[in-house]
Amino acid sequence: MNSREKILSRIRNRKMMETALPDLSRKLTTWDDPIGRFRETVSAVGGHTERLSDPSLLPSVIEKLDDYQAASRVASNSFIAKLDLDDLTRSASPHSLADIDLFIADGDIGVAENGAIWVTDEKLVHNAALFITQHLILTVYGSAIVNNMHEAYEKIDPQESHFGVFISGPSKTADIEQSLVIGAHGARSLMVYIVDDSETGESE
Amino acid sequence: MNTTAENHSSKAGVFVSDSDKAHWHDSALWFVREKRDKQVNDVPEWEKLREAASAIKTHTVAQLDQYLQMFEQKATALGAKVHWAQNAREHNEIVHSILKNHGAQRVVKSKSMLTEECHLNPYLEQQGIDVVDTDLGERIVQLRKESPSHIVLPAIHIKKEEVGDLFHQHLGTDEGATDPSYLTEAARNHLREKFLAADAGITGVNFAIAETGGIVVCTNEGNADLGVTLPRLHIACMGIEKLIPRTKDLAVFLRLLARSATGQPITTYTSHFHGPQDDSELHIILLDNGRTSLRDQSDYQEALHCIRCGACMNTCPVYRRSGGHSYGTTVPGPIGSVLNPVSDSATHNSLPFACSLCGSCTDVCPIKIPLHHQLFTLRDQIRRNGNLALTKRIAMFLTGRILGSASLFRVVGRMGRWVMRGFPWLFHNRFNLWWKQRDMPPAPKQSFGAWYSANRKEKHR
Repeated sequence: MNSREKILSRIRNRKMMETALPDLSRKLTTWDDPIGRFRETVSAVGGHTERLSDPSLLPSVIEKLDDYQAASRVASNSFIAKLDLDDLTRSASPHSLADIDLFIADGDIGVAENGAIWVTDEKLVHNAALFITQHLILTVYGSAIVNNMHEAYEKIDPQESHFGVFISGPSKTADIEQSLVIGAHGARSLMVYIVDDSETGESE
Repeated sequence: MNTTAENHSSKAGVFVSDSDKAHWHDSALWFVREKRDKQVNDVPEWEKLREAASAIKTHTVAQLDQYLQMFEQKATALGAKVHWAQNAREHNEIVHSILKNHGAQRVVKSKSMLTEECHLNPYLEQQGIDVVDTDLGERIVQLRKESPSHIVLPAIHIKKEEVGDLFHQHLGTDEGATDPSYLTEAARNHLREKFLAADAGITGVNFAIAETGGIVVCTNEGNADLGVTLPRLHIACMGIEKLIPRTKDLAVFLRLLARSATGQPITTYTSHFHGPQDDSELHIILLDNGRTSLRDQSDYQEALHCIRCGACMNTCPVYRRSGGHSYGTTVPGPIGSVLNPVSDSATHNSLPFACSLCGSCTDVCPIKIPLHHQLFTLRDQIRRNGNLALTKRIAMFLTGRILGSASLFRVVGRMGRWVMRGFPWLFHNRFNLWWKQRDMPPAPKQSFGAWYSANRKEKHR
């Protein structure tokens, strides 16, 4: 009997009472203004947000950023922000991304309760770009902000992507004496643009 | 066999001998506990989430064989290779054989308590493989040739001055530099080189989804992600208890995990892997290493529900004041004091006594593991197995006799008060451990019972 069979038979030899899975459709916390809550949470986890009434504003807004001005290499896989930038090459090794200063990508949804943004490999040329870049910009449609993680998993299906990640704020650590330091291994800053689309409600 | 009864308390004794550092450690962890409270109070449905999480785990553990097979089938269909290991040795051999097949020499590892449990690093180093821990705290303890003292905050026992000295020696930072931002930046640059040079990335697993065959890894630093998106080989090591049935169950656990662990609403990165990334290989190792025998023991099987958030450590008055290393185990604190004695009672029988039974661990546990009940049950089991220290056995026997007889209690009480008033040094001396760092008020002349008879009894008739 191999290890697999041994482990499985050890489990089968000890029958336990079968119990039902809980119903998760209870009433859960929601917000009157999920976008407002989302912005508060992103800022609480060390990121920044800006709300834009139209995606066409993105290029000019991004080009004005200090991180953009200071960057020697900027790359973008964003479809929403129509920028004429390095869009990375599939055939190149991800190691060639080591000198990226600023990277821009699109998120599918944002979560109000924790400021997380869901990004998948379908919209990326190299997954490593999200983590190796010095600074990160993510876009998300205002209509794609959900209240909580339960709603998030109703909207996304992680198994459709080999790689998908919720990103909440910039990379951080508190491993030295519990002092919070932003910029551990991943991005040193996170800017989130919430872009109004036809389905977004009234802009503030 | 009671070498270890001295062990926790004697190691803790060394830890508290540096009183300033012990107080600093205590308050550093209490700070994390307070951050947790703030986040938890922000979620009105917190108790419902805990109940749901507990119910999901109970359901999954009952049918673990079916969920493991479902997971294996789905993960394999997605292109991952699933391996099974009964124990640490087999686990380490599998990791090594995968690395060998790829000719991988340089490995970056993100934080995984499971690989600590298996002592994977020394094993791979013996095989000539260079393993670098990439979580900042774990890198610090690796450079100090120590083990983590906390499962979420591996370097919580180390002061920034010590990190400064260590980095000066190993990373060439300025002598005497102690600024956490400066030191973190040095580690960032040092580890970037390691990420870019790595042939393989090893990660742990926070959750494995049976219905999809996917795995989820949670980090704040981004080290796991850099470690598996740069090299073409990802080895994910997980205990068989990490399974959850459905994708939507993730919502429950992800809402609980980071809030309980560090007081964040979610970790910075929550990465979902379904099969290998493009041009890469994904290997998933399912490890038993005592988990099926824990499942067999109805008194303790709920300890399998643990999601390794560390909340029980941050709140534990004994852990905070004695430090993780005094437990002498990979997983310390209340959950470690259950897991380790259950798997190896003879070695770890002092741990269930490193507990005041205050119950705070049970209150904060996001999965509602009845930790202090389990610790209490373990104490009784240790007594029944004859592993209780002789001094404790005698003390318990005598206390039982005295408390069991009203007349004996009165006599002994009178003698005690007389001795304590006349000869306090008989109690207050260096042989009585209970008097260490403690003081007592002078003993009264009469007992409460005697005082009550004289002053109140008449009036209440």
